[in-house]
Amino acid sequence: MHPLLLPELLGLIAGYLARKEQQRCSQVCWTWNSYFSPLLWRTCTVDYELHTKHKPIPVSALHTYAPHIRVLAFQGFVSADHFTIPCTRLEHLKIVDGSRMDFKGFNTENPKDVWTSLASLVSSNPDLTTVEIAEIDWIPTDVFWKAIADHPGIRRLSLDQVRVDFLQLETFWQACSGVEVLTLQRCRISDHNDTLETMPVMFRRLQELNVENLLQPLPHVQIELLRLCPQLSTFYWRGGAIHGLARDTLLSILGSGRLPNLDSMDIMGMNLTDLDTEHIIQCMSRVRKLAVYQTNFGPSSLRSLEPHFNTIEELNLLQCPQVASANIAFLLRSCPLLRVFKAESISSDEIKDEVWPCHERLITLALYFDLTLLDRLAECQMVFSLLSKLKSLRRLNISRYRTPHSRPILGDIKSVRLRLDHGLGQLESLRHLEALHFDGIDQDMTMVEAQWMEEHWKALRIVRGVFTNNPVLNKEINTFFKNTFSGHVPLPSR
Amino acid sequence: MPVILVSSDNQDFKVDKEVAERSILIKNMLEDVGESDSPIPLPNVTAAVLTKVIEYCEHHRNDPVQVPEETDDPRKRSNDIEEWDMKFMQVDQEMLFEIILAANYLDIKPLLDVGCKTVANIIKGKTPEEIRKAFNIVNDFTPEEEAQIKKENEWAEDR
Repeated sequence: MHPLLLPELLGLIAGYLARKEQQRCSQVCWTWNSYFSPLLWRTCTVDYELHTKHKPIPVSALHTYAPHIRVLAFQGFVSADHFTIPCTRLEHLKIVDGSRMDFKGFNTENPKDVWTSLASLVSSNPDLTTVEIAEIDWIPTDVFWKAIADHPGIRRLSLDQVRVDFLQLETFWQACSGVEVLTLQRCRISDHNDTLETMPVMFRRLQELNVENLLQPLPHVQIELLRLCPQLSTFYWRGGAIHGLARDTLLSILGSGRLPNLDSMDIMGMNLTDLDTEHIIQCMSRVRKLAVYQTNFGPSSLRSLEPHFNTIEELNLLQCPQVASANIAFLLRSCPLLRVFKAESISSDEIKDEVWPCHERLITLALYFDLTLLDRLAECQMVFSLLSKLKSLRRLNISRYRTPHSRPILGDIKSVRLRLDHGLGQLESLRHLEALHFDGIDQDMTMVEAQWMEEHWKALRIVRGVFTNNPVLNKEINTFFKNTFSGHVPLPSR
Repeated sequence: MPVILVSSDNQDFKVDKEVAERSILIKNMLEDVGESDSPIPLPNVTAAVLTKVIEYCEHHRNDPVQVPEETDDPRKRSNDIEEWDMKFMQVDQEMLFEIILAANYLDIKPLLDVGCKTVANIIKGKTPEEIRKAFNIVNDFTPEEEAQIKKENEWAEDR
């Protein structure tokens, strides 16, 4: 038998093929077809027929291959026969109505039927774990929320720009209360008097709550949600411009000890004082992740973080004006489990010939290296030597961030030069590097450096920054990277 | 200490333990039997293929052990084959498939990867007819079936 008719061999090879190639493979012979067709149909997006730039999926084929579909997305207006698709093995369902765009959303056809079909789609797929809904202005019936509430397997629910009206509030919160990860973005969740008094029960299984820019209810009411989540370990909150009450509510809930498992907080943009962030950290029994972007995190907070140095994995202190270079050096020397570290800037004075204890774990590093320029060559080499030990690094961002206090000067390259004659070659060891950003620190790279990066960083897909001030050469390097990266199998776009 | 491997056609191969242990199957076998100099039979691998496999393991004897990568991206790249490996894989197709199957059986992950990447690179950019030609695969569709499948799966091409 031809070895390429062995399914196990096809399975191994398929992983190296883009969808386009997998699609062609499905047309080679029956054996290949029976392997590749299910693979193609695992993930399937039904688009608005007239606006899609893609070839439409024939409805009949959709019904034939429905049993293979694991990830299904509906985007915009599609005719009603799409919604009765007989899937039984869905794991992920995404529903995006295009009603906010210039074409009609699927509410126009026969909205009640559509949402009833979607509800039965949810009920007939026991493997469903993730449901995403976006841009839904009006759901005419609550059977859909009921179906989600009654489904025991759904662990993740994400809502983006969804309006929930008062009459459906109770079933809506019931749908939310069974999941482990809840994400609410830009939604309008109506309530009589903005108190969430019709809020149900408890979110007993909820471990992760992500709340971003909700239009309703009011911010402090959003934070009240925390009182209902006894298992919560991760809280991500973006509330926009926010005043005292939300902050007070947060501090009071944290202080009440209702959230014993909380170990990850991401609370940018809250104008918190150093004492506030100190208090927040003190209320956490364990700290795994702390992102306090744009706060006044300072000496007191740093002190309260010290007992957690051995557990902290992610730290984001970007745009915290009170965090000094010496503090950053101290943190990097003291936290052995760090995987993600983001902070503003470290001075070359603080860098010694050393190895950070997190050197094998660090995957993401965002840090501007501020050189004294007394001996630029030696300083560059020292920085590269330090970085060369971070062998797991995937994302390196040495950009100059725009803190409110230090605006970058255009063309300012007080930082490292990405040049082989300045020690760039030491970074050969960063074999997993996928992204390199150096915004605001214009370089004077040559094609030699670009080729070196391409040759040594096989995983590289993103390079951002000005390569050189010579516009012709800059364009050339740009084209070089563009061509290099286009040869790669692209990341799945959806 | 050398290890003796016996191919399916009963040929003995004496290789360093370190080299043989590039194969996880052999490594586990050796761990199971402990100190022993009895030959290891490999009934699924012919001498010709085993010669190639050993050549690969010799060359890569000092490579660090591959850690399984935690990646969110199920699709992998096939354009990062090392130069030596590329040359090593310049064999006829029959041998290429034999090597892949042997690597799979012997559990030599890096060799398996290189083999699959090589096949994937042959497939890339080819039409279904060119793929059939490249691998000598018989088209067992009727023209109607072929048209139908093309129509059903066409949408997947650009997304």
